[in-house]
Amino acid sequence: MRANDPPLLILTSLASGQKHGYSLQQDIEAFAGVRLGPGTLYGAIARLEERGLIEPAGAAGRRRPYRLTSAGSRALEEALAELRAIVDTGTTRLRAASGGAA
Amino acid sequence: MKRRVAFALRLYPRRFRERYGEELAALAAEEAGVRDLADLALGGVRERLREDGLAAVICAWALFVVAGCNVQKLAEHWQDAVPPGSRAVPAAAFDALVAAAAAGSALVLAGAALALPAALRLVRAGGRPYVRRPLLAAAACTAGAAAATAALAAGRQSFGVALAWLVLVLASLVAWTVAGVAFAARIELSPRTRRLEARLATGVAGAMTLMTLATAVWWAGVGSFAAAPALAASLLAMLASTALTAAAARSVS
Repeated sequence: MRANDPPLLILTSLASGQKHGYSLQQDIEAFAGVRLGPGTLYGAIARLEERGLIEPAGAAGRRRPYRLTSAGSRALEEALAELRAIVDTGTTRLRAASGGAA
Repeated sequence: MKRRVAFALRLYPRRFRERYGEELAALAAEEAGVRDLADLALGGVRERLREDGLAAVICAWALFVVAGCNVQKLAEHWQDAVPPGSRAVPAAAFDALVAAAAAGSALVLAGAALALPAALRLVRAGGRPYVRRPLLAAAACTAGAAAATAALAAGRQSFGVALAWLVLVLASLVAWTVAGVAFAARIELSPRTRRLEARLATGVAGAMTLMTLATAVWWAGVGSFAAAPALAASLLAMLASTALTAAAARSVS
């Protein structure tokens, strides 16, 4: 998953607790600066639910909340570890390059 | 605005609407700007392609075949109208077009063969009433087209027979497309088969791209030989069906 992938953004948002569509949209915009449109958001929610990474946390309705499953938490941890490895590698190389240039 | 949201929601497959429609409508109603409406509509197209992707590939291929046959008809005897020294590029483009058409047809047949076990399972599991009528119609049109072809081959080359042949061939293509869509809408494919179908669809999109490019190069090479409006319409249809196949291939997987 890439950092701006809707599924990763949704999993990250749900890591702080269950949310419905509008709360997810607002939260993701606040922490990532990305506004997911309704079609993109619910397309990603459908895929995540199919893969068992999230589940509904309440009855059907206009504002049904979703929460992470244990598989979703694991998937998020793995995705974040991958991103962290890239961040660490990039940071190390940048420091080495700026150190070599100095 | 409510009407626009309701219209965009109708683009989604029924199953998706039943599951997420109420939530989607509520979210879209919060701040439904033009971008949100466009995103909602695009999401509907994506979900529709995801659910009916194979049917979309079948329809796109049928449209492409009609456009390709039109190009083939327009290209008859093109060598007579082009000086021998200027034939190399259009000849190579036309050969590429024919080769890509053969490759695309083989990939479509492979996709049909791959889905055959699922189609047989559908028939055995009581799906016969859904597909019987389209299959019978397709078989009848094909038999009629074969009879008209035989009549033409036997020398009965009147305008009426030629027209009947054209109508029956087109009807066969449409009828087999309808039958294919009827199967595609109801068969259950395993995730592995879906992935393989998606790869084949990507290959078909590649062959279509090559054919479209080859047609454009051939047209540029033969200049004013071919009827421009008819060829432009065919190229447009080829481009549209290629784009639809490429989008469906991504969604099927």
